[in-house]
Amino acid sequence: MRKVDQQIIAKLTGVQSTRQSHYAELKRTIEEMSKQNKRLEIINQIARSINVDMTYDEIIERVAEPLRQVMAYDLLSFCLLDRGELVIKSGIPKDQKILGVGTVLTRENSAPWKAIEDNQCFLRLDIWNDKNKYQEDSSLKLIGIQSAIMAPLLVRGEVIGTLNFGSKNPYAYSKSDFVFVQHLADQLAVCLSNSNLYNEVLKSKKVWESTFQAVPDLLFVINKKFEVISINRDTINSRPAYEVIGQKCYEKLNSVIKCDLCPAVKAFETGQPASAEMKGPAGKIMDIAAFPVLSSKGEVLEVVCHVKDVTEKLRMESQLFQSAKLAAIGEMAAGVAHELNSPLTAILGNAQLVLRKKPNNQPEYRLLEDIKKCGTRCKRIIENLLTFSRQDKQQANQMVDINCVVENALSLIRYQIEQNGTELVVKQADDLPMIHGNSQQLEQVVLNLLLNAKDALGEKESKYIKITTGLKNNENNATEIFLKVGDNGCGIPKENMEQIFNPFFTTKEVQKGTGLGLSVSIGIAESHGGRIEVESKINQGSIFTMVLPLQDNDVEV
Amino acid sequence: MEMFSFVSPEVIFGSGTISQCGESAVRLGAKKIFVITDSDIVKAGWLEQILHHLKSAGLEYVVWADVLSNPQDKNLLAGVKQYKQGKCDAVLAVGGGSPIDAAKAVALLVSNGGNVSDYEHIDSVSNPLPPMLAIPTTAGSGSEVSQFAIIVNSSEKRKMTLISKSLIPNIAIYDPQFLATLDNKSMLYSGFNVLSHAIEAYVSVAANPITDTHALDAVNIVSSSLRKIQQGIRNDELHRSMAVANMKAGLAFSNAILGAVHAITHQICALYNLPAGLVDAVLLPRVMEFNLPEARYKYGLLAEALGESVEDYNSEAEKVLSAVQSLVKDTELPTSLSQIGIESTLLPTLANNVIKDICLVTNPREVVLNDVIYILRRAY
Repeated sequence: MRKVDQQIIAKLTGVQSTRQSHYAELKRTIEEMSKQNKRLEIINQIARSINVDMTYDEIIERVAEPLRQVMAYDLLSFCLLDRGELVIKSGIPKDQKILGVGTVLTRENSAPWKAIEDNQCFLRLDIWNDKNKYQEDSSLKLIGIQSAIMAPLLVRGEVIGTLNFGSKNPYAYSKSDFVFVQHLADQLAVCLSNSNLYNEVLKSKKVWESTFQAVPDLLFVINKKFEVISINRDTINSRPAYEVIGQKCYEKLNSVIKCDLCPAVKAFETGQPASAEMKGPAGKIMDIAAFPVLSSKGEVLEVVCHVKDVTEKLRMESQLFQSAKLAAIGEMAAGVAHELNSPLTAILGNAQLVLRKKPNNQPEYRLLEDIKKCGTRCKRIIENLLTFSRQDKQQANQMVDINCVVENALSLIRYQIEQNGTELVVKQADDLPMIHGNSQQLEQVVLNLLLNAKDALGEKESKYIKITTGLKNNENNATEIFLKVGDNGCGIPKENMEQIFNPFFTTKEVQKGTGLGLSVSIGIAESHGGRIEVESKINQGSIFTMVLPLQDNDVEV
Repeated sequence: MEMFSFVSPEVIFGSGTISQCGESAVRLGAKKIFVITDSDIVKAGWLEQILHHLKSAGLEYVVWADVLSNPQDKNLLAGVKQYKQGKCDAVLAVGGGSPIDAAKAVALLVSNGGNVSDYEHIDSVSNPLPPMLAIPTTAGSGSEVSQFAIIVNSSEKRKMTLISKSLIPNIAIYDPQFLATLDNKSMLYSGFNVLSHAIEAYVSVAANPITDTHALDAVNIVSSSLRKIQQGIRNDELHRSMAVANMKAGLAFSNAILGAVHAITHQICALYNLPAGLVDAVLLPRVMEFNLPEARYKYGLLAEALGESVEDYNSEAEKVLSAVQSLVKDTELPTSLSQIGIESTLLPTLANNVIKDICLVTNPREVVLNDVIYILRRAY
């Protein structure tokens, strides 16, 4: 018998050939199905565990471990297209130096690029012995990778990068892995793209929010139910924004502003921007502007409200107004004084001429003396008036003696006060230093305080006004000059206390007061670096104290 | 032979066993069976009977009756398509060697994919085939029990011999009734086909004690049956004997493979649409003559099985040649290739195809190209 071909015969019909078994096929099928199930499970698990706010490293970390159960790898990475370049964004092992994070793969002759260009998985079975060479090959050899599989990351048909597996064994992957790897890549691509979109949205949200926050005024958006949707800060009540969001604006933001006059209501009604100046809490004056946010159909969806505290602005304006008024009065007074000066000079001169010739024992002598005395007083009043009226023409920064300021003010008003039956007590400290300031402005303050005190006394019996000047130390141990004007008048009700310094606030009759006196006074005190303090008790009286700081170069007397 | 293996499908044998086809298929798990046959079977009314039995067993079916003799690979794709479209889950082949081989190829392609030529080499079948039943209606091919499928490579005009244990049908149903419908000529061709299977398997280098027993039995039965057929004797007993001989020869060659006769017959039939048995009858004496020096003892035993009286098998081995020659002569079959219309100009092409035929592997004497040409010349 021939000895040849025994091997072939054994394999053809002999002992080395066996019929394929359905059981074996079934087992294979079940194994394959279990593998696929496990892989699906892993993909689901991965998809579930990835959140939009994860970083690339966090995402790959979530993927790395469960993936090992179904797909062996020694190198796992994903690259993303970044301005036309393919950049490795994250990978396992984490401390990979060669082909690590940040490595740029140029388009020319790159295996991951091939996966992108072919728009399908690219399998490399034996990289070290592959006739087709790619740019990554030498790096892969350095880290021992012999086979690899690369899948394009596709989002809505557009490639955003690749998912890459590498193994230190050749032939570690096969075409049967394509479905899984592509499936995983698709899932990952969605996650990565979501994360990207999320970050972009987050970024633009941050930009918008910081813009919103940068506005110092109160800015908020309300819906049709007047619920606050967003707010930069509650400047009115100084509470955190989260306490206000979702609440009704009229409950949380302005218990004082009357809703029926609110421009927000008007903006909802008309669909047009509206604005109004309204009184806010604590007597503040608010400029409220409401801008409707319109839908494409022209319907008002929301209203953006801008609330600006204009109290300070108005005070400045009123001060300017008052100054202008005073300037006018001053000029008029100067004119009147000038006109009065000539006849007064004649009266005084003639009285003095007659007096000189009259012996002092004659009864007319006392009458003439009276004429001269009153004439001299008139002359001084006129001089003071002229001085006061010249205020804006004077140097703002002069050396001022507060006691002189008091004297000058009194010279203008003393008669009015005393004539009214009010006792005027003046207690001036004689060691006051001179300070830098504007004496006319300070006189105006004293004048305002005295006028207010006078009005507060009304028709009471035993009235007094007490003026005190002096030095005191504040809590920081700095010496300050004070000027007190006290009265025993009607006092100020508590509810008005906060408002008295606001422009146009007045309790006086319309003819009598403008509501600008204290507002202007505090402005002057502040411009001198000082302040005005108030103590008041109903029906017992009030004390207004102007406190001015001493500056280093203020002169001791 | 130190180690050997032997495979056989489940065999259902006997008159009327055609009625078992439906139930057998159900037992194999079939729900919708793909029936492969040829137009002769349809014309003879056999298909109708078979479909009736399938229906009775509650089976659905798809019939593909377009198989031609000596089936070609390109024509099988239509069958594969129909099987898949019909969502069939089993195969039933009815007919001679051609429908059974075609059925094997269809079953192979639906489960393993690709083309027939992908499976010409060893160990290429990776998935099991769907359950297969075969009902032979002739007594010649042996395909119903064999691990062989012979398919024509249409582009190369040669026969491909697919060999795999996975190609063995699960159940072979032998109903001798079919043979009663064959004419004498067909019976004679079938007989020589069986005889050549048995003789080649017996002298094969891969023969084993089991194949030897079946082969010798088959030779013995077929040699006496052929003479009876020539004499016009046709009865149930003869048909039953021929069916047994066919089965035994099939089991023998399925496990021991064949030799040069079949290597040449396959390739002639790829070019000429001739009955394999007719070609076998011409070639058998010539190949035996060529092989004789390598297997004298076994040829001596074969001479005895053919009815010669042999005292010393080795020295009297030549008796086998005259025994076969006289059988061919007695049955009045042609004795040369020229008589059956083979053109001499095609002999070199033929020889080139023969040398690629896997059946040469087990021929007792090594065959090279010149040997093939020598045999062909002798047979011309």
